[in-house]
Amino acid sequence: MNSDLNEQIRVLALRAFESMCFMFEMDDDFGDGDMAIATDYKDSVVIRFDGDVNGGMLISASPDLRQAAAMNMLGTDDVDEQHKKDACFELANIICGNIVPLLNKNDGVSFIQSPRTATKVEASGAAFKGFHEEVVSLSLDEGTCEIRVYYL
Amino acid sequence: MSHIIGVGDIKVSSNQADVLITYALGSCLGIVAYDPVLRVGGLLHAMLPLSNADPAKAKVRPAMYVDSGFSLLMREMFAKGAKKDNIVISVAGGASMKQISNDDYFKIGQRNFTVLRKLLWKNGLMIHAQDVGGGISRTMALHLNNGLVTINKKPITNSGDGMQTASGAALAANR
Amino acid sequence: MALNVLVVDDSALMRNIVIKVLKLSDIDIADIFQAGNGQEALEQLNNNWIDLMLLDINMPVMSGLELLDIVRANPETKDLPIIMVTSESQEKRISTIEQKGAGFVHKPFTPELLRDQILKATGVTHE
Repeated sequence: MNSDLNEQIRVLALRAFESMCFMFEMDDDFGDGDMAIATDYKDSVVIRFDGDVNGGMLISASPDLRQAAAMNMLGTDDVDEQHKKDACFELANIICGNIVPLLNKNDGVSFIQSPRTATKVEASGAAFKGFHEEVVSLSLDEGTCEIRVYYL
Repeated sequence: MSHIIGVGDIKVSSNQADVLITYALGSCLGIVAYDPVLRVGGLLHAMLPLSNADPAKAKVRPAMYVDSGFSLLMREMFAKGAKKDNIVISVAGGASMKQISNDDYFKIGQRNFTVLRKLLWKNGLMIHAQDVGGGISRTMALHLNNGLVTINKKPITNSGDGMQTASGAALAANR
Repeated sequence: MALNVLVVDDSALMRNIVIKVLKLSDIDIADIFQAGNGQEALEQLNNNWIDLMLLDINMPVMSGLELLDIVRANPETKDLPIIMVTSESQEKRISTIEQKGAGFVHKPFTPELLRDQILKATGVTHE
């Protein structure tokens, strides 16, 4: 783990959740209570990137976070499964777009593909064997999520 | 006449002679709503983000919390005839209050503002003018006759008496 | 004068967010058109008079950067006000956007930030 990079990913992800989803990080020091991260993540979203740096970013969100993200981003309580999926895709897109410049090696350019639902091999991380890995777990006021970044 | 709005308090007025004023906004949020057509306006001084922190208290003092306070502000504006499409929102406060005292927390200011932004987006309202964040204490006032919102700032100090380097800023809310 | 606006993004959710901001901004809107990629946007531009375009970069079929070049090379659309709305942050990918006369809003954005850029691009002064 690269602690500087890990912290930068965390900050960028929190900024995305704060600006677009109006969510804030829960904080044990702040008296927010149980900080346990739920791990019953069902659907993971993957974005692959290639060029100066190769790899992928996975984001797995708890069911309550997926629902709240869709509701908050659209500003309506009337959301369906497609909205939740779109919200996760767009958050992945935003976070990945902000992270890739941190990973580029020689001030080069990498191309970011469209987000999609991860395959089992991708979601388990097995598809990224031998890659560097950064894992960031976020506990937000309306749910939890885990972001994994793999790069070579 | 001038009306002073205390912490966790709210006032909505349609009296053109009124000036609503609130002092010492630190991490608290001062929220002004003004209908320039009807010249109805209100000022809320909310302390904490979410009323579910203490529902019993929120019932007695809804203006203490950003979520219940904002709902109350809108209800009172509508009760005086204000129209949503005309309402102009101005916001001040939400400062970072790190190491001021045991009662103040670094993140309250930011959380207050995030919760307000969510409520506005859900209600189809946008912030017209804002002066938020940083480490300063603000005084916010609304002039009912023209919708002018003024903000005075000074650094937050531990002693609470502040330094006399107040600077004035006016936010025009009469679009 | 009421404006025709074209919103180009491969995410339907993001188009909805941008459209909500447009409707809440103090501009007079006639029609809002949508496209899911650069190619679809070109068709919309051929079929409709557009006064303002909000454009994503990373999209399938034709990217926003490719579309920007095509639009600027066409005498009919070379002066069209365009705001690029994108999470793309690589300097080499975005450094030429301003030279090509387009505004820029970086994702994540707040509704107010996007509104301010829309008002700037359409020449509406916001007190």
